[in-house]
Amino acid sequence: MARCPDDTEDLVAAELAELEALAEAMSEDEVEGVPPVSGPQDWE
Amino acid sequence: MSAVASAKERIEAATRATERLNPTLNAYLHLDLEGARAAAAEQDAIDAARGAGGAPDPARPLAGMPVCVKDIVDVAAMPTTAGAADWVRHPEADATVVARLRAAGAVVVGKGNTNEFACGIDGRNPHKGDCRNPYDPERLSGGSSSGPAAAVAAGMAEGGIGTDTSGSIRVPAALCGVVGIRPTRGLVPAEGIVPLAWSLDSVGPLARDVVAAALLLDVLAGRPPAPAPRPDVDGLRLGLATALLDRSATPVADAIEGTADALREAGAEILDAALPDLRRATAIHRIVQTTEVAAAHAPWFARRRDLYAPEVRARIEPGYRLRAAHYLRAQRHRRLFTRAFAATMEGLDAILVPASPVLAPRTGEEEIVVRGRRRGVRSALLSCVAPFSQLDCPAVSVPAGLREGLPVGLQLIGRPGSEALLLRIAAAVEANAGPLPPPSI
Repeated sequence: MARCPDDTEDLVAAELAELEALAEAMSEDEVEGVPPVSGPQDWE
Repeated sequence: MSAVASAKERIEAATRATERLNPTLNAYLHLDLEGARAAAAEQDAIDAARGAGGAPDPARPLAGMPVCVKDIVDVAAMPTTAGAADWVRHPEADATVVARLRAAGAVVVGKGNTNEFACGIDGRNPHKGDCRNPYDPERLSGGSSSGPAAAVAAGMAEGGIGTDTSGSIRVPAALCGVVGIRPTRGLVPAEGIVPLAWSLDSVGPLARDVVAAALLLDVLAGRPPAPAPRPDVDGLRLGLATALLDRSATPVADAIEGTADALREAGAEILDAALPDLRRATAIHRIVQTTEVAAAHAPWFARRRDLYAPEVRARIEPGYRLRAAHYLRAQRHRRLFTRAFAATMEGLDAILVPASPVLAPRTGEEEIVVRGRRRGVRSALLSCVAPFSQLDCPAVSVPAGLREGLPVGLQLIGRPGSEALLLRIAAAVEANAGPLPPPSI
């Protein structure tokens, strides 16, 4: 379970890179006009 | 346990199981057996004073029920450690949900194990020791509400209180063979609970059967108990997520398909549910959760990041470096996913999905082979729950039987506020599966 700090830095960097790539892959065009708040209106 | 058993008898049964099994299972991190006995005596004294001949007290629907509370939930006079290395608070007051439990007559036996800060899905904890699965202590209990699930499965409690951000009630419920409810978000208050991700967290119950879980939910929600759910699916239209079954281990898929057949025979119409893009949904969920967890942990993380387990630190720290634009874009896509899922639900009463695509993995396994494909254990355990966690809707995991001696959990997902309907369906699943044989540990 224990890893040395350098390994942890690698894990953090890898996770960040993956999350950034996932976010960049989400189209802005698809969400034009969509506010970042969900609610019951989405079920009506 | 008989309905007329005294509080003392119920607490003593839980205490005996705890003294015998907790050294192996590590379901409880903190115990107050003396306090539990005293609280049970108080409940029996109230019953004796009522003189109602053992009839249930409507004002105390949980009278004498021994409960395990996940150790991120404050219980007065017990430490809250969140399963972390060197983090503790000593609350003077109960969390709102604990106060409601006690007012309803429940007895808190102790604080249940959890992944560090509830940040994990496997029930492993390098600081406090792993929680083990009662059906096979060499296998994962699931988490992060690992302690409550294992305690209930092993008879160390009759009810549990957990939290579910990405699947942390449903997965341990599935792997340990108990009922777990992720309520409609906001139905159950989160005051006095260590947050993980504010827009995803949901507080809910675990129990041995559907009736007890439903009763606990009503108490947690602060509303009068509804009539016990009856198994009735006649005329319901249920969507079966066949795409997820195809990616599940064969014993899991077989158990759920068999359950779907039984529900069809009981009068439900079973249809193929075409789910929205779950890969995108998982990406959205990861970005939202990572950012919110980082924000929630900021003060402590800034001082003691060295105390976090490497895997947990690696899941939190990127949240400080993601840009606000990423978070907001993910939240906007989350709303699109919600709309797409609502469209999937049109004409359906609920969706049937595995709670876990695999039987409980062995402790120490980092990868698992499912239908010839190698998958990370963490990724597999999250795959059927995390995508749906960003909806505001409720989900129930109910045992669908044992396969290879291990429980299979069926997940029922419905519209916001549809807990009563889901519990009706869960009762039908439970009636079909019958009571699970207790763990032989």
